Amino acid sequence: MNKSTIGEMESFAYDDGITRKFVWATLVWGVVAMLLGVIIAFQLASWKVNLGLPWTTFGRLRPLHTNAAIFAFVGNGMFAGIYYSLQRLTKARMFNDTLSKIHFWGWQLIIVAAAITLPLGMTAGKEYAELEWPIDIAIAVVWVVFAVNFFGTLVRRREKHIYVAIWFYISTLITVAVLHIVNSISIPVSLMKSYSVYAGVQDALVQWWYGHNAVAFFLTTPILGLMYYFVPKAINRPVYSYRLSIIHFWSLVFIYIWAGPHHLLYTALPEWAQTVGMVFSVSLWAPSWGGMINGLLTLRGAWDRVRREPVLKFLATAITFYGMSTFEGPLLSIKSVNAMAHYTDWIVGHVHSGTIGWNYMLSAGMLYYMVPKLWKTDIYSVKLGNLQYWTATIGLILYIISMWVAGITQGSMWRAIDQETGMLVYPNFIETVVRIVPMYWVRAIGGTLVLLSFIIMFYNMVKTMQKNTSPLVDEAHKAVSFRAKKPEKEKGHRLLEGMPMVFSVLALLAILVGSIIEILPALMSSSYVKKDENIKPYSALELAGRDIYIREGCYVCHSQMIRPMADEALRYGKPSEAAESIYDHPFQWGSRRIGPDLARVAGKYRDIWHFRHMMDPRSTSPGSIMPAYPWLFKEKTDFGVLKKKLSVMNALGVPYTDEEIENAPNAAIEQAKAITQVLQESGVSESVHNKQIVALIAYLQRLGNY
Amino acid sequence: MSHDDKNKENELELDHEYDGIKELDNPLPRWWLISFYGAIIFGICYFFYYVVGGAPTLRDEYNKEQEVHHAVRAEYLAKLGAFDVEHFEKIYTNESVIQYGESLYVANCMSCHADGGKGDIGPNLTDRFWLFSFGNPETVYPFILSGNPNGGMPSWSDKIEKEDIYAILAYVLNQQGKTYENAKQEEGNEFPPWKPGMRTEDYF
Repeated sequence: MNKSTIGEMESFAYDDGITRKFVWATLVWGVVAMLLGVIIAFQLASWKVNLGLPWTTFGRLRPLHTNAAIFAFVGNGMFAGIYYSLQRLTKARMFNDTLSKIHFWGWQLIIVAAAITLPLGMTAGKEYAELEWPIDIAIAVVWVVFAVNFFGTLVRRREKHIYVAIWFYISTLITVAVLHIVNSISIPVSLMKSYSVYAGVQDALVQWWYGHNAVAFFLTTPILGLMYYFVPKAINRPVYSYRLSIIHFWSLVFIYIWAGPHHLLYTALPEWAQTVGMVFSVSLWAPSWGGMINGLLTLRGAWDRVRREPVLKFLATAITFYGMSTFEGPLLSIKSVNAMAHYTDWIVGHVHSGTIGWNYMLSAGMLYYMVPKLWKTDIYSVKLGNLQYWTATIGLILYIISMWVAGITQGSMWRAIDQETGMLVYPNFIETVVRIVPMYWVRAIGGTLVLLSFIIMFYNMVKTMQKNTSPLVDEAHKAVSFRAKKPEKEKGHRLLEGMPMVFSVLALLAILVGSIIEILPALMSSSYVKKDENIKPYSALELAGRDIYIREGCYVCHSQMIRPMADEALRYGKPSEAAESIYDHPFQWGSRRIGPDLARVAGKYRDIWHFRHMMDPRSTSPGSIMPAYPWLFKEKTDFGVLKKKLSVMNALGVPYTDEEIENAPNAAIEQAKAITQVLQESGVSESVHNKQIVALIAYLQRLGNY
Repeated sequence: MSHDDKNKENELELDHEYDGIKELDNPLPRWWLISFYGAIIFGICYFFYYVVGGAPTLRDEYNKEQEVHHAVRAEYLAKLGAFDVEHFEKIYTNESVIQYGESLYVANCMSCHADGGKGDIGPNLTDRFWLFSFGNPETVYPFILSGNPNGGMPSWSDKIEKEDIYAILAYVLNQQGKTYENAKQEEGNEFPPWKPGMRTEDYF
């Protein structure tokens, strides 16, 4: 056959129905995620908002908020944008409509499962990866379905070259799969409880490799892909620089994967890994700004339209905040800046300038562009769009500024040492909490404005959809497949763009290099953690208490990692060592100090103090914003399951003897009775010995005590 | 956009097109390239200096910081002087000593003895009733040092410098006679309030 002849026109239609579904999911879950954010923001401003119920306390709702915001809101938005743009960029319908539907409904079911299990305290205890193993498996399966559908579409593409947006989608698909699977590996104890196969410093490294790259490959790369599609489409101008696209794409995906350890600066992680995390984070600045430049310079020459049209307004603002937070990120990962900012609200503000400023704003721009096209009508109200824009922007600015003030205040108060006495200026941690509560109110108000702005968009979008009265049928398109055309001679990157599978393999290699060099030594080398013979595994009761600690999400507010700094030594004791958490599956180093560090809390307070503190934190610590945990005094400790728990831990390498495993329930009951006996002297009833509070006290009195 | 710009843009336009999206072949901005390579070069230098080049580690810096800090503490403690009743009598009304004692009290004692010493998990320290001492500095001091495991009082000798306990004592004894709402009920035996000049033998 003569290839040079013009091939046959092929007729096809895009599956816009699936995009419409994902648009709806984005709108619905966006409201849910932001409502949850507002609730937990008010809980920090006033502890009473915790309501005294297990499933409404901060420690359980905060993971639900983060999971909902990342995976439900941004996730569905990302899928909507990818399904819309991928088909158009490849001139091909999605590979398989059934796979599209499985992807959609599977993902929504996963979110519903998260919304049920997280408030019930079913959690793996790792930030942004809290979902338990059956849900983790479901995520992996649905992700593979998405990948098959995606790569199937690429195989059937009619456009020879894949556009830069698709490069970013490819990188997202591959890397999220690798991150999710590696980080979630765990051994089940029961249907809804498992222990991470990693412990202590290894777990910390794997978790933050995952956690940071969830930001990179779930909240950044796919959204950059969407930017590369929707910005030039909306402004109808060419992308500023193809060369910049190439350089910043490859440098971004290669460098990003290394940056995780900047979450672990000054911790017990070996220092070379910390330094690697820092230098790669600093090097990320330019690759990130490459995306910003390409976005903003594509908009140049049309700023008058940016002022008028909601689509462009949101897109331009999103890119600006992307630039801001990707400058702030490298700044925060410089060791000396991190010393001040880590564990404070500054980090929380930084994260939200990314999620609200970049993810929400870009999703909004995308929806304002896409929804009128998908429903074949015009936007219901440009005025409402503008109102939404200003409400969101003001809310976000209040959020960011209040968190800067709170973070810098906390950081300075924690570190303040009286130069004359050599003692802490604020020895009572509560003082540093009470001081920033006004900022928590400002943040909650800012967050409420952001939620309101989203509800305005919800209304505007629904009204837009309702304007359509004719049936929505997929339009027919015609195109000639590149396969029917004469192949052109190409070289370099252009050649690669015509080979999506080779491209994908290279994208995988780009993220594997950093992953392997950073993580493998931690998993393989026996010298990675300096051994300490004094460190013994947790007793059965302490382990039961630890699982309560994890269930209640204590790690959300309390760290267990004392950094080598004079003020921390004064406040919490000597710096934490890697050896101290070798039996911690999962690690509980935490990332935030809304409350004080607990790594060496053992013996600091008497059992009765903890007993009263958990019942009513303000009775022992006036001014505390911690929720009360009355249910721990009613619910019984499950002693029976401890045999299984110890044997799973044993399988993971924790040296329990067969006898210890066999005798776990009895030993736990005995220890609980001993603790109760001491509590009885302060008037506590003997009947508490089988309640969860006693197990939790056993765990707390073990932290730092070897 | 001016005509010239438009012409320049047409020259830069590549023959790429995806769903109507075109790409320009603008060169990489120079300042961007400088920051890109600059950060990488900085990173390499930084890494080699700190990991291979023998620069002080974070632990080295911590140890140095601790040295300076310990010197400050030692100097201050030397100023406070060692425990002796007569000296205590001279300084226990000194406002700065009391204030320093209060900060130590807040950090170490308040969790059990509550705000101001009104008592909670531990006994009330503002009344004249004492469980394990006579309520005078000479007998309270060793009790804080060694504690009483049966009574729930931990030993503080390895947690707080001896001289610091002195300041805590100054604060606590100055709290004597103060009244608080919800103060804990009296426990132990009643002793006459301590006054400067009173010695342990005076209680027999």
